[in-house]
Amino acid sequence: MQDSRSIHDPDQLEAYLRQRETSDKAEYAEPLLVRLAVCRIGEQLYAMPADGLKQVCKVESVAYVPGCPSVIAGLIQVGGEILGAVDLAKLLSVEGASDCRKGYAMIYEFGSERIGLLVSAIEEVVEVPVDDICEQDFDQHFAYAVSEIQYFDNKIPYIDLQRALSSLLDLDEEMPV
Amino acid sequence: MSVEVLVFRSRRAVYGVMASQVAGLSRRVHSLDTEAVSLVQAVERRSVEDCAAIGERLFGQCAPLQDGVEYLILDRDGFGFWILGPIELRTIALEDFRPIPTVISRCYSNEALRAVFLLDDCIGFLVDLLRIRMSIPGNPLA
Repeated sequence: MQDSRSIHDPDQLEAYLRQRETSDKAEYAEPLLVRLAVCRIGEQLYAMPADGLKQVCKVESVAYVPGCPSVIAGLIQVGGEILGAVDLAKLLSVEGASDCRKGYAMIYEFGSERIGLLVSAIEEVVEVPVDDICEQDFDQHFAYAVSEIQYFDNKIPYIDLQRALSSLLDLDEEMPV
Repeated sequence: MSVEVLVFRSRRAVYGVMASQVAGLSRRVHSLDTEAVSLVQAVERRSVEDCAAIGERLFGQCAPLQDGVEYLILDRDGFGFWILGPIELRTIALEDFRPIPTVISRCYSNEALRAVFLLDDCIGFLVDLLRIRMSIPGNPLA
C-alpha cells in the first residue's frame, strides 16, 4: 500500500521543496505591524490609525460655527490653515470629557481634506502586530470601536475612523488603515 | 487685492459683512427701527441671551467687551439688521479668506455663511446679508 505523503518522482520532490520553502518563509517572517496613535479622551484611552495622522498640535482656541451639530467643535487655525475640528468626545459619546477643546488636535488628511480631531491628550504612536488587534463586540456606547489592542496592562478600544467620520466627510478617497 | 468688511462680534464668534452689501450704518434709535432684526440672532438662530451665556463660558477670548451701543445696518434693499457694537471697518486681504472646510459645510445648516477669514489671530465668518434676509421667516422682502 502506498503512503499518500511519500514522494515517487522528481516533480513531486520539486513541488514539496517549493512548498517547504514557502512555509519556512512564512514561519520566520517578521510579524506585520500597524502604526497606531494612542490618545486620551477624558480618562479613557483609545487607539486610532496613525497612517493618516499628519500633525498634532495644542488647541489654542476653537471658533464656534453657528448651526453645526455638537460633534463639530468648530474651526481651528493650524499654521495659517483653517480646519474643521471634530470633538471626538462628543462623537464617541465619552462622558466627562469636556476638556477636549483645551486639549490637542490630531490633524488627519483624508484625500484632499484635512481635519482636526480634538482629544484630551496624545499618549504616543506605537507599532503593534496586526495579530494583537482583537475583534470585539462592543456595545452601542462604543459604536465606532470594532476591536481592541493590548496597551501595557490594559486593553483599549481601536476606533474605526472611516466608520466614525463617514457621516461627516466624503470618504470615497482612500482612507488611512 | 482686498475686501472691505464690517466686522463685529457676538459673544460666541467674530462675523463680517462685506461693505459692498451695506447701504447705510447708523446708531440704532429704538422707536424708529422696530422692523430691524438682530443679525446675530438671525445667524445663530437662537436667543442672543442664550448665546451670550454659552459663549462667555467657552469663547470669552474671542469676545472683547461690547460697548453696548446698538447699530443699524441697512442692506441695499433697505432691510434693517441691528448689531451690538463695536463695529470695525477692516480691509482684509483676499489671501486671508478661506472657503468653509468641507466637514463644516456638510454639517451646518446656514447658507448665509459664505467664507471664513483670519483677523488678528481670530477666525471670522463672512455673512451674506442677502442670504440671511432670505432665511428670515415672514420677511416681506425675502
